[in-house]
Amino acid sequence: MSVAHQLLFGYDGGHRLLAGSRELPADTLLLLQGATDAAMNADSPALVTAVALPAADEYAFCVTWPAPEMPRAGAVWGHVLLVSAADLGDAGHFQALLGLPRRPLDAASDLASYNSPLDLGAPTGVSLEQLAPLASDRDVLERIVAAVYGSSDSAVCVHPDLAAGTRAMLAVWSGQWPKLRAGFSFRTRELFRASPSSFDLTVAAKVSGGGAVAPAAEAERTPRWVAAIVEDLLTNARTPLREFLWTFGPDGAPDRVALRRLAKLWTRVAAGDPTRVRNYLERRWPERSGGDLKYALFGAGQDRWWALDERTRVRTLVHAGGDAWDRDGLELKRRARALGIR
Amino acid sequence: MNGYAQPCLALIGMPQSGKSTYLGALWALVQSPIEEAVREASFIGDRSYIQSLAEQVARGEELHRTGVDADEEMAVELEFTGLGRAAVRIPDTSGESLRVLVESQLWHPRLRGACANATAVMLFVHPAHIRVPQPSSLLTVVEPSANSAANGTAVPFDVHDHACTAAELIDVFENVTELCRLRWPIRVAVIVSAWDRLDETLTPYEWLRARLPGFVSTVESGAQMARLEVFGVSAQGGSLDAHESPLAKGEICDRVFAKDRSGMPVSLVAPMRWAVFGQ
Repeated sequence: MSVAHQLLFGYDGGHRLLAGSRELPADTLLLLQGATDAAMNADSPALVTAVALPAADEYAFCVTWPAPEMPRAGAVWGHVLLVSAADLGDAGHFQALLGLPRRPLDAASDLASYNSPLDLGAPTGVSLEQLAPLASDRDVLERIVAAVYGSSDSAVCVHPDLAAGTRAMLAVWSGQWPKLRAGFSFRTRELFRASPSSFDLTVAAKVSGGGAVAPAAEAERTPRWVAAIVEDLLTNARTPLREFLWTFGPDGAPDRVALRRLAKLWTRVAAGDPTRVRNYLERRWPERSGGDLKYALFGAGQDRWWALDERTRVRTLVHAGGDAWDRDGLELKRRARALGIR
Repeated sequence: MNGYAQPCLALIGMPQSGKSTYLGALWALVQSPIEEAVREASFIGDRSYIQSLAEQVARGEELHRTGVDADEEMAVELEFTGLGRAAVRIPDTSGESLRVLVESQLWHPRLRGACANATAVMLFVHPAHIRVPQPSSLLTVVEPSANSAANGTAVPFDVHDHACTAAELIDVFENVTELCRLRWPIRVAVIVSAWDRLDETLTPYEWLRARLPGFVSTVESGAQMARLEVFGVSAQGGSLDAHESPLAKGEICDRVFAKDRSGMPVSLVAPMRWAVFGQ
């Protein structure tokens, strides 16, 4: 049975662990103590924090709520769910995880219920559709996608509607292939102080301290690869782009820039432009790297990703330069001869 | 002495010991034309955080606790009357991070950074949250389980629930001074907050000696490591829970106060001035 272990943090002479279904090393507890703590007002929406645990093949998904019923101003509840990286890659378990966070009852009379692990196979009553971004979230989704995949630096997106920001952030996370998802750290915050952050993505309602925060993207300048990813995330289904990313993404390094590269390649594939696809592959997958990808697009009889006839495929590669192509593996001579291409 | 100092002060203390309230009151005083001990010397830097603290203190509101991972700080250039300018940097550390240091012997990176770079430490102690050593027989009595109490089963010692304040502060002192070894002796100002709640017959130093004698002895016997000073401060000017709000006492300058080790009234700025200049 796949389970999510849970920890509950709250105020007791300070923000601390109050209940949990398993023991954790002190340094991991310190990390989670900080991850579940945040400055919030009594009417703040729930905040989300998600982070891979160091030195463990595990991931922590945390939700923080204000606790105005506690005796100290600024006290919060923080519910942590710990899952294995493998469970994060399982569609059913991933969906279940998103539905598990639960704020304690006001009198905290249910603390004991946090001492047992939760079954990831049990229905939670929450579906991904309920958490999916709305059409009106397109703007924030575009900004988050551009910031997250535009560079490998820590991305910050300022958006006053944190609920929309959270939906967009969860959509971006759920769109990632399992290995990328298991290393992606993100959070929502009411206020973000512009300073170096260890999180891949921070979505904040406000920012203080000036500093470098990516400006909002202008709609007319939205890059095609960003628009393609956003369409995919808004569709909330296994689109051809999602299939493409999940097929070839896991072969490379689990970094965000790899996703952008694949998405850019996909826009060229979707446009049915073999020359631009070939040039982009040569530039971004030089020498013999990306062999499976190149074969899937230009190999004999490979028509899963685009409806390109064999003659165009072969002619495109015959004119290819450099050593980016495994001509023997692609049987280029035989195929050219069969088509009478010199 | 007139010069230019660039001190980094570590404001540390357990949760609810009054660190942020002091910062807020101090900043309100810095901006007040009535306060003569200190003024703002330049307008460079981000003031949004301390300004927010100062406004809450001025309104007599309970300040929100500082988050474990909060990275707020006060970084301002101040002119101290008769002593000179100082570019003061004070990271606002959470009480929880100090508790983790004591309970798990683990440095939170931000607390470690604040202490490692500190030229002086301001250690906050709240009189309402002092815990005295409890004999093991008492630990048995406070056992929550009725069966265990009846059987006389001893409660296992738990640092969070049972460690006395003096032991915790000695541990903090040893950890911090070890981290600052290259700058010995460092200045350690103990700030007894909510001084308005205490018996007027004792001076701040006498109170500290009476309530935390082991801690005072440890610090004073380590003169090569640290210089100790003690202050009593009331950064709100009274209890926010009291029937009569501190706001009734007037503006912030009229209600906040501080006393030096001998009980003499001093400006609320005095603990910081001593931490920066040693006088």
